[in-house]
Amino acid sequence: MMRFWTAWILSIFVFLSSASADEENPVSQWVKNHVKGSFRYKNFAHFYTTEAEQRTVRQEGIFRLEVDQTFQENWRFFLVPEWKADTANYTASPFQDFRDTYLRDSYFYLKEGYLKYRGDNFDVAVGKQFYTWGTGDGFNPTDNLNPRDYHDVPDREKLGIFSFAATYYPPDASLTLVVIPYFTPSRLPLAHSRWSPNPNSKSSDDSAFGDLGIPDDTTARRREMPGKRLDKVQVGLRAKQTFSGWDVALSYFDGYNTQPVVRVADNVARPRFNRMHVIGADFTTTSGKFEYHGEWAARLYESGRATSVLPILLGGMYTMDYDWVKDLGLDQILWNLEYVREVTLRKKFNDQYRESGVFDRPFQNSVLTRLTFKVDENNELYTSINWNIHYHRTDHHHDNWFVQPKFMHKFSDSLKVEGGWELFWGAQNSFWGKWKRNDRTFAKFTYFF
Amino acid sequence: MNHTHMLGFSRWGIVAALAAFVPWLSLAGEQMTGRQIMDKQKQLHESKDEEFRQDMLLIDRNGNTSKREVENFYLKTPDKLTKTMIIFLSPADVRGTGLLTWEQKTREDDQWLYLPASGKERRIAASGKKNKFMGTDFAYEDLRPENLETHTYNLLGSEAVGGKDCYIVEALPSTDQEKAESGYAKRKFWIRKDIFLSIKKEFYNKQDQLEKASVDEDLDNVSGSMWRSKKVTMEDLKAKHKTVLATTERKIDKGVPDSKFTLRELTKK
Repeated sequence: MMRFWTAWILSIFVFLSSASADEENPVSQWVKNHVKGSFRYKNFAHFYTTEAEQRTVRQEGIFRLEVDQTFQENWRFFLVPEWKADTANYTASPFQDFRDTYLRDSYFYLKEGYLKYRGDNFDVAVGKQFYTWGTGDGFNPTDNLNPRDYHDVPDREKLGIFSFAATYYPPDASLTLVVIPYFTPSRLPLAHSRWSPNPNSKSSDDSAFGDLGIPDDTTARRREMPGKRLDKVQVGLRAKQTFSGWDVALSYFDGYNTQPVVRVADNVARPRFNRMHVIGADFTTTSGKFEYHGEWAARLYESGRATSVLPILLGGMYTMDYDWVKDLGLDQILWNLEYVREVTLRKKFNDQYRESGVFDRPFQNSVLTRLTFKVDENNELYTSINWNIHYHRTDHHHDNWFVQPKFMHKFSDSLKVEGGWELFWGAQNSFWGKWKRNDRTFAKFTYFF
Repeated sequence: MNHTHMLGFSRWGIVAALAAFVPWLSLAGEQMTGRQIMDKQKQLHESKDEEFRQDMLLIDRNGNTSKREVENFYLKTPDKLTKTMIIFLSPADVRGTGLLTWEQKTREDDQWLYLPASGKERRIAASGKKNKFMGTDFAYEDLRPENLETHTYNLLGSEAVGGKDCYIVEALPSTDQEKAESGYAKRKFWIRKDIFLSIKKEFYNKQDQLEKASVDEDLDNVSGSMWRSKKVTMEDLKAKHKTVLATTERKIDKGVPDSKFTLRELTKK
């Protein structure tokens, strides 16, 4: 708690220092032109305590800067340092290691930072970067390059990945090559947090697996990371073309799943990361008030260590801007609707490996929808629903739901507030149902400068 | 032959003929059709490409203001179709947000919205023409070049605005698609007779009620017969909300390249 408030005070001090800077001063002019930032305060209030965590309120503060400098016309330097603190100890160490492998978040973190060269018809960038592949709104089967932070499951964020990216731009097209020299895993929920699917786990490393039927006399070992060798380098390719009102992309990723499976052998259980080949495609087009999109990816694993699957997503967005919408005092209503179906390509056949698919395969027969009521630029209401439909072939996919009604209000261009509820339904062994004691309200205040 | 008489006759005849001809001459302008006036406006003021920066001042009914800074790019392609790009430079929460539109002749326009927070461009249905653009009082359709082929233009008469004589031209959607997609039943333009430039507009909703009005001020002769206004004020009369667009920089026909209107540029920041 002390560290949380220290971070708060530090953030405000840094902000006020820059805000009160002398306009004539060249440094403050540079800051004005090249630096922007935000301070975000989040408050999550759960309705119930859980066996793993008695705490019902978690607060989080994030102070973020964005430094953007272009020089010699073709070069761009972009840096996003972030300071973070929270009251549930999801954040612990002062810094991350170079590979970003710590189980908890750090107080200081380089969220993004790269140097980019911009040629006439190509870009080359090196550094910590984000990639956003795919056209899906609630789920992107082709988007496998960046790991995620699952410490707070509904609030999950992507993590930047150190990589080299080169993009060539022929007319109305792009061809991107991404090389990731070393592996960064996703940050799974902490073993004894309310988001752990297996709160009784002996080891924090295997907290994200739920019940895998690992014998009690098994010794849990730390996860085994892919080595820093040339044959462990990960590679992604994406080709995108725009033609006749369609955007179509093909993608390929040869790399590691950022979420581990557990290898159990000789009474030792050890989380490991599987190499996979992902062949994907996506498209988007529009017709009238509709936008349609689709995305699928064949995820193939080596040596039968995990089940090879093909998640297929089809969806669209319908824009309602009829006169009756205006009569309701709304600018427009947007309805996103997506259906995801996972096809099994090859079952896991290596008995030494245990997989749960808790975060890896969340949507196997699911409807994802979001209704946005846009009053104006300053006021919006949303309702997001994830509905996992009962699926006979797997035990943990009884009907289960996640519902998030939310509102957003802008007090000014600088101050925005979001608030709402996050509610979970379903059997204890279902994807969302396992967190049904995590129903909560949330409030997020963001100050931009 | 009596030359004097003849000359006298001729002189009076010429005077009479001129007297009859002059009013006709002055009517000649009046008798231009609405479409001819719109064609003339387009001919005189249309550029090949433009690049300009604007401050958008949003003023609510209580006088509260917020300011946005935008960068605009416009290109007329060789096949007479337009490409436009709008990028927000400030405030911080919308910085980098962009909208790219490619006009199409035989199908719906291509349109992409880029929100930096999501990190990817999103193809959006271009039919949402009637929606307000980023909280301003301008609808998406107000920010696009006038499409003369999808409207009928009627000359309603003349009226002085700010001491300048103007044609009043009414624009009515003429195609089923335009009727369905536009938020307006009609618009009225006040077009200066001397320079053929719209300096006042009124926008009527589907119930034929006056909904919005805009005024162009600080006119600038930017090149040859081409004029632009440096300040446009759009007022939503029902919401009592105003948006003032003040142009701070403008470059015309300086050769904005086609490569500026790409997804690469849209997602640059």
